[in-house]
Amino acid sequence: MHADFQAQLAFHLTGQKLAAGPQPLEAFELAPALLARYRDLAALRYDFPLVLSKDGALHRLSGVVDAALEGRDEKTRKQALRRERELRAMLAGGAGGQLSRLWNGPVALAVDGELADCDEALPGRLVAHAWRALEEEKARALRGCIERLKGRLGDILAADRARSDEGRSAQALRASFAGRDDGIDFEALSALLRRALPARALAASRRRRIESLLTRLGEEDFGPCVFDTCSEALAAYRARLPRLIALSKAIAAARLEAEGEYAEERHDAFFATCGAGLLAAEGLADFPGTLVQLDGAELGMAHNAQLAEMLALGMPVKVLVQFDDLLRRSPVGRPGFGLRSHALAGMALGLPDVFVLQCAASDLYALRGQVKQGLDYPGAALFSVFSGAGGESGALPPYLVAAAAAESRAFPAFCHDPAAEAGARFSLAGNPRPGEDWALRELTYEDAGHQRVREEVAFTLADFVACDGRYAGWFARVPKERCNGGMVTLRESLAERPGGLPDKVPCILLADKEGVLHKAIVAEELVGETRRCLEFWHGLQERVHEPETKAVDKQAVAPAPAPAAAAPVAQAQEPSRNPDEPYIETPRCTTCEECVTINNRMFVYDANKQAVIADLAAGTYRELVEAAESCQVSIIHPGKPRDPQEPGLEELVARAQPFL
Amino acid sequence: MTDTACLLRLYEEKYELEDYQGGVPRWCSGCGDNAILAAVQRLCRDEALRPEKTVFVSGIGCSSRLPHYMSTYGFHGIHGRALPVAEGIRMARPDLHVFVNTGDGDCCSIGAAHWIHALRYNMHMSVFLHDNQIYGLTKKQASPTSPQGTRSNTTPRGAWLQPLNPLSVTLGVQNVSFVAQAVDWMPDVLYDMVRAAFHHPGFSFVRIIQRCPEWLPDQWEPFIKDPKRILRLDQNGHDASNIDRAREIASRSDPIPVGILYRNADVPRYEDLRRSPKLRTPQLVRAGLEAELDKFTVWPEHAR
Repeated sequence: MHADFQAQLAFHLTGQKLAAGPQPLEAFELAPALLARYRDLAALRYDFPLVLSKDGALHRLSGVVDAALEGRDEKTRKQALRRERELRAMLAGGAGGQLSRLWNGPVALAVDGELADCDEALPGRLVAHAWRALEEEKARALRGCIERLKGRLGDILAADRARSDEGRSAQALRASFAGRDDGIDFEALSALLRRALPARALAASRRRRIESLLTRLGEEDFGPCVFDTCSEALAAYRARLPRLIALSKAIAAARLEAEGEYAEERHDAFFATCGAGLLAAEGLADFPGTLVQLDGAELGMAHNAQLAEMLALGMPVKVLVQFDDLLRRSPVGRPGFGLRSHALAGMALGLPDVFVLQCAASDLYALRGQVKQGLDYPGAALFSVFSGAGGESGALPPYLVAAAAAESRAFPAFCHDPAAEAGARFSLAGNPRPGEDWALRELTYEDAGHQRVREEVAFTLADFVACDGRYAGWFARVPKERCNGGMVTLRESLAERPGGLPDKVPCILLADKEGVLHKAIVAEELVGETRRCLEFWHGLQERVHEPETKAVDKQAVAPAPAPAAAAPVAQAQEPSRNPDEPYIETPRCTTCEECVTINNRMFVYDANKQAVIADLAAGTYRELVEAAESCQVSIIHPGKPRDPQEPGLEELVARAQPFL
Repeated sequence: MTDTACLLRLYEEKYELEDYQGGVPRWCSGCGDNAILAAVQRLCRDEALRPEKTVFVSGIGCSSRLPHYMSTYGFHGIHGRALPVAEGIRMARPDLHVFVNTGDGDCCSIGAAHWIHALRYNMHMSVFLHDNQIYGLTKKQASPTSPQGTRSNTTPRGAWLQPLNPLSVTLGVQNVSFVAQAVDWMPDVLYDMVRAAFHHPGFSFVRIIQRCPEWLPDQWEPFIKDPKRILRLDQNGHDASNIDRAREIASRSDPIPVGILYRNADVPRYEDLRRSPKLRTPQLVRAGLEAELDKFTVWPEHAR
């Protein structure tokens, strides 16, 4: 074995430098080659910063500026883009605030709102922002519904009062004319009204019920709705549930009352006995919801159990779990990268009827539709988001760290929507190349001979780990002169089954601050983690239901049916009949009344108001023939005469001939 | 707010056709109006529409007698004004199912302006145009849809003008959202169109070609006898989202196209655009009235 390769293999297997072998990296010395071009993120136009407008909508700053620049000249455009770049740099530096206050550009922007960059606070801000807008809308709708019901119940009482003796008294009538009594004899009017409208007061029980409903409908305050721990949220929910049930029952009873459909003998017993079972998640979704914001780093066994209980209860709760550091070592010593997030995702996917969305913060704008779906979902929803702001990634901004986690399958995006159609509930939309192991990207660089080289490079978990200073020791740079045929890409290495002494060492491409490419060997421990990450990704891929496209395609390419003229409706279904027996093609009957006018005992209408022969004995053959002649759609077939003694039979048989 | 249906529907509501039958129809026997009446009664039964939550609005003419024969709410209005009345009902009582029955004279002549603007407003209601191509109630005068050459009391030498095509007119108005055609002698198609119109979330317009056995007895005879002269759009792969194709089909009169010509559920509805967030509480109504009345001054009693 060549000495260089031996030293490289030794580093790969042990993660330690042996004698004159390859040198482990220093923290932040090198970064993944694919990220080299993104180091000055503020100079690029991308999804961030976002504008969180008051109506709950999300906008990209670049999209807002583009919309304002439509049809403007080049000079204005350059100025606006420069201002946008400055704004992006300010936000990256930690500034923040209202767009209208910070903008000061050459064009007015149509949208205003808080600016939010991709940082540690983003997942919480964005989800809470959208949640609050929906909650306000929901609260408005609930308030409107209750006010409307109160108005209608109040009308019932007011109408009863107006019809009462008191309401028809001369004094009350005078008051209804605002105290003016020009020439009106209210005493006479009162007497007249009393005579014309007999008093018909509301039943005492109904009046009591309406008054009680009006009081119960006034109770709307359910206390705080945003929590930092599951235990607080659960306790608040338990305290709130009886009031929710009472209000829900009051609304239902008020609706029945307002519609005049409340029947005491049926509904009294129902409302007395129904309880929590009455409120399915769908019913609860109309009432104020709950938002729980959790820190993924603090999710222990106890918290997990509470979270599972909360999600499984069917509460209309929205839970945001934010992970800031995916690369924290597990407590038992093994790296266990992404262990907590994987466990959380697995638990949530195993619960029935829970909406689950996992994504990196960098994808939150692209997946805003799914975020809204989750918030709109009537049951529980879990949002698991990686912010990219908690590790030790040096100068790399959180946006790039989050995007790298999504790209490397360390934190893949997925969505499980129980409300979607069967087969479409689980989706990996939002991931690059969701059908493949890795997202291959093109890397373009200049070789030693100054020639342009294009290469397809996979961005693996090892590349993501290479962004973090804590794990620099897991990579060893190999000087160019020591590179040899035993070095293969990590992707190729993963494709081979593990076992035995390897004859190749996996490496990845890294770049230094000057943009110079280097090959670095990856330690075996990290290769194992990458393999585990890939297996988790395969598990997610298996959940995606592949539609049977072939069968559908076949149907789709089948030739369109030839133009068909309208055929009589019952032509195909009509059984073969004895032409001697009279009958009607009932489905074609147009209800024109001709036949029933001739004899309404022989011809009657069925449940669809179409003619049938009810009783042949109720009429003559002549009436049958006349009905056949007068039927405009010719669906009455008179058959042969039953009574040979009927007068004029010969002529009638001849007239019936065309309708047999 | 979603309906807490489990509480409001503690028992299943089931209706029979008889539950929707009002007065005894006074149309001539053989009249196509009977078929339309049967179709809408079937629809009400099949959709279990509560009679007290359903309203039929009409103008004047044979067709406009229909509300009398329904055991629901009805409004037999004035000539040509069925649509504004129905729009008012839609605005004031969004909980009602609103149907409009109008005739070729009522809709396409005196009520034509209302027709065009009702299309543009796209308010949620089902409109059935009973088109028998003649004024029947007043004993045979030419209507806007009477074919050229139709002899009538007002056109004894035959109608001079080309007839108005209600489908082409409808499809030419902005915001049109649902246009269909049926013939009264094909009850299955007629029912399907009535049902599709009811389920369309917006202004659904169905022209129903109907027979008038009294004044134009032979008008549709060739089409009734020869099924090849009817073009069923559902069996010919017509794409109902293609308005240009719908306009092309609408311009044909032989064979008669039946089915949905055009449907677009995304057209905004006027009542949604103008829905006020304010509740119409008695206080709000009173305040509005006071504000209006305050615009006028009462002449002081002692001022001479």
